[in-house]
Amino acid sequence: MSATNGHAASSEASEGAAALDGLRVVEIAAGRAVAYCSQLLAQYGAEVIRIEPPGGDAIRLAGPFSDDAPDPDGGGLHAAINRGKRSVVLDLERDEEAVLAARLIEGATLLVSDWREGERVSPELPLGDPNGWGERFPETTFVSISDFGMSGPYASWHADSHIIEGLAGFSYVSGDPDREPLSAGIELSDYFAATHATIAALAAVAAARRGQRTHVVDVSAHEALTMTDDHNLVVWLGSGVVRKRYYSRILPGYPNDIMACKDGYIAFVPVGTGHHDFAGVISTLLERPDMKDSPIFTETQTRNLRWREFDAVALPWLARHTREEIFQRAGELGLGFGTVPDVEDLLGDSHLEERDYWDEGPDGVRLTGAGAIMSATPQRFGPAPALDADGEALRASAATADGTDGAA
Amino acid sequence: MRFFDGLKVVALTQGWVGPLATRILSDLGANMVRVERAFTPGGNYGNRTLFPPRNDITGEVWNRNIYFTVRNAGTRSAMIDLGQEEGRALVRRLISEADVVVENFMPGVVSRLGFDFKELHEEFPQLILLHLSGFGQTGPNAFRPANGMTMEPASGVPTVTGYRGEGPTKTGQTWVDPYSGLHGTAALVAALIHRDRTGEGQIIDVSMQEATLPVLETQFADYQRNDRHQTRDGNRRPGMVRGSYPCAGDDDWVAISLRTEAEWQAFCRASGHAAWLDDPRFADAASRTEHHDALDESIAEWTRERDKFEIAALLQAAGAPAGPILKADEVIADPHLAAREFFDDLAIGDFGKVPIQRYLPAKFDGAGVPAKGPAPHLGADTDAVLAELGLSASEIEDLHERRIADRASDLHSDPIAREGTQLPFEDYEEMGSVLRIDRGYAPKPL
Repeated sequence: MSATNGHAASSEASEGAAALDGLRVVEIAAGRAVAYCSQLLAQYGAEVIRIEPPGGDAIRLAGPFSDDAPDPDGGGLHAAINRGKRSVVLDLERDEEAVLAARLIEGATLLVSDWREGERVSPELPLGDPNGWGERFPETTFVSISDFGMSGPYASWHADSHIIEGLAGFSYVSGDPDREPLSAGIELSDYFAATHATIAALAAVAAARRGQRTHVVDVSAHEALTMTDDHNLVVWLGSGVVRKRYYSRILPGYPNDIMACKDGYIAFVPVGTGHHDFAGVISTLLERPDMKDSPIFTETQTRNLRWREFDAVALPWLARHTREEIFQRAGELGLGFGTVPDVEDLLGDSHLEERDYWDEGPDGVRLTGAGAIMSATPQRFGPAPALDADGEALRASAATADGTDGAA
Repeated sequence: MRFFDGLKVVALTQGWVGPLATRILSDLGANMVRVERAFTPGGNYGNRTLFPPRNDITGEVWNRNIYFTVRNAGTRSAMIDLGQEEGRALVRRLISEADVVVENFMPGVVSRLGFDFKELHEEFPQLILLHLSGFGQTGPNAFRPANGMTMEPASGVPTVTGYRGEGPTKTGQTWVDPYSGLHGTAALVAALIHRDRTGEGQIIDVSMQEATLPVLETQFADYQRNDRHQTRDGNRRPGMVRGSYPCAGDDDWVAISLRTEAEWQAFCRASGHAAWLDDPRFADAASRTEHHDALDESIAEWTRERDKFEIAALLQAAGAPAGPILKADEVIADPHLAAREFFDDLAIGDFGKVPIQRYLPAKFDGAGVPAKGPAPHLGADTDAVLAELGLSASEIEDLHERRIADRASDLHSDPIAREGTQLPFEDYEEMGSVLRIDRGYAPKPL
């Protein structure tokens, strides 16, 4: 495994160090959240062994594939979120292969997988039996990531991010008031679940090293996303107010929308200006000095309520100016606006380039880099493994007493 | 699960992303001291004065705020004036005894206050120092102003969020703040593991933008491999039957997501539409995607007169994924979250007790991670924190007299603090961004 992305701070790092050096993690492939969690652990330096079903799991089959030609080793999502892992194919429905999996797990500090009520309860691999886990694997913490957790009335429910965003109160406030609630265009709950599970797994590792061992960590994607809500819950709990979606805005402050301009979109959210003279600055930007004293410009709440009047001034001006012109003029006035880059913009972004953000994937494809630059223990990336790339070695090693093969 | 009992954390934080990281550490047991400003007329009191409950400004607004409680429950507040040299020296002493420092100001701000992380790292090499900012500490955009509302667009995600064929939009939650804060927290805990083993601290630089970009891996891959820009398609996904459908009730909706053939068949049978299984328009995933508009109309016809909770229960029992789309009051009342003890009833000053969500809602051998308690009153822990630094009672009193330290400032003379940020809910209700106001709502008594 090589350090391919430490951003600028990596030059100060202790040579070769990674935060989780020497830690072994076994992943039983089970969707995006499980894969991304164990990828984050791999980035922190853990050795991750990925147990996959014959033919590969859903991540391998999710694509996108070059020219849409399916290839279990060539999918874009696989290349991105299985980096730096080892792969072994085991059919866990077969007892003898479940035994091999169990041997690998015995030699690991963490197992990351999902959990479904009543599923996979077997003496060798009691994934559905949290109470029996510690007895069977006293040295391995099982990090379970599931849609709704291991208990409660929805424990047996199945969901994806769309359903979880609904239950979390997230989509009710997203979208237009006279149309259906909108979920995010990505699998948001998977990523929140993965990140929570990573924190919980790391906390369990830290605690174990201080003498407090946890056998089972139970992470619910539903809860992981619901914890992000504070605006809706706060106004209900404080004032008995139930928010409704209103062009995806939060209640106070306008403008805070994405708006069209001459050559694309900008996030019209003037922030961090240090200006107390919003009216003066915004009327200058929009070339409407005649409106400097208009309550639409001078009074925040008036602007919130009469936002269409603000738009009537702003939108025509935006339509006449390019993104670059807007940012330059706003910058001169000390106003900060947001960009709305697409993937092409981001891949060519000079800021990300200067921070050495991208990881180099197969065939020159760029993959995302580390979410945190760590000066002493830079995060690491390696290639995503071919299906069963390490199968022979790992199956053989599973026959040894501790399930290790000395490769860590 | 106070795994980090004894760990000392100093927070120089504001907004959401920083407090999120430090509340999680506090919930896990750390002694988390948040350094707050002394009285500064016209100052920015941030979460302490944002949206007072019921717009009620008759009490100490800054000590009865739900926003502040969500983000800072169980932490400690030391009110030390960073505008004075002695105040800065006190905070430096605090840092010298700490394990972790977290800040989320614009790059350069904490350096100007005298807490340059590189200098601190050289002087205290065991320290773990976490920067959280919109674009990171370096690069041409480092000083670009940022908050959750600008960082969601900067992440690129709105290019795939929105109604079919229409422009990009944000979601109604500023989720990039908590998401990137979680990445910062994970990096902190990883750094703690490394320090436990080696004694070595480090500096961590989290860019909210960089932490968020991996959620677009599929889109990056498709563009680079196939020159294809994935774009907005409402709630749909290729190959799935997926949508939000109207139900009986006041703006009630149910979310349905059918990923597999088995789930599609379960849905048809449970909803009483077994005939759709023989309809050539819906014969396979590709044809269902092609005829999704027609399918949506038919599904809506079925859901429209039904209760969203009953639909979800019926479909889930049959093996077809669905869930009610909940409003804020329904999230609070959700029986699953209650059974999982997701909320803890915490006191909000003299306002009452309200359910506050856990910030690390994981269970460790069945035990959750609740906050240690309510949010601290402004400056409530100042004297205790100074005493822990070894200052005598008379020295602490002297600091108070010179307004270098404060234990409970009276901010009533500052209109910005006194009045907080109030919201005209009735106007919003008329405008349509508020569904309803329950004027009989009351928190639980203290």
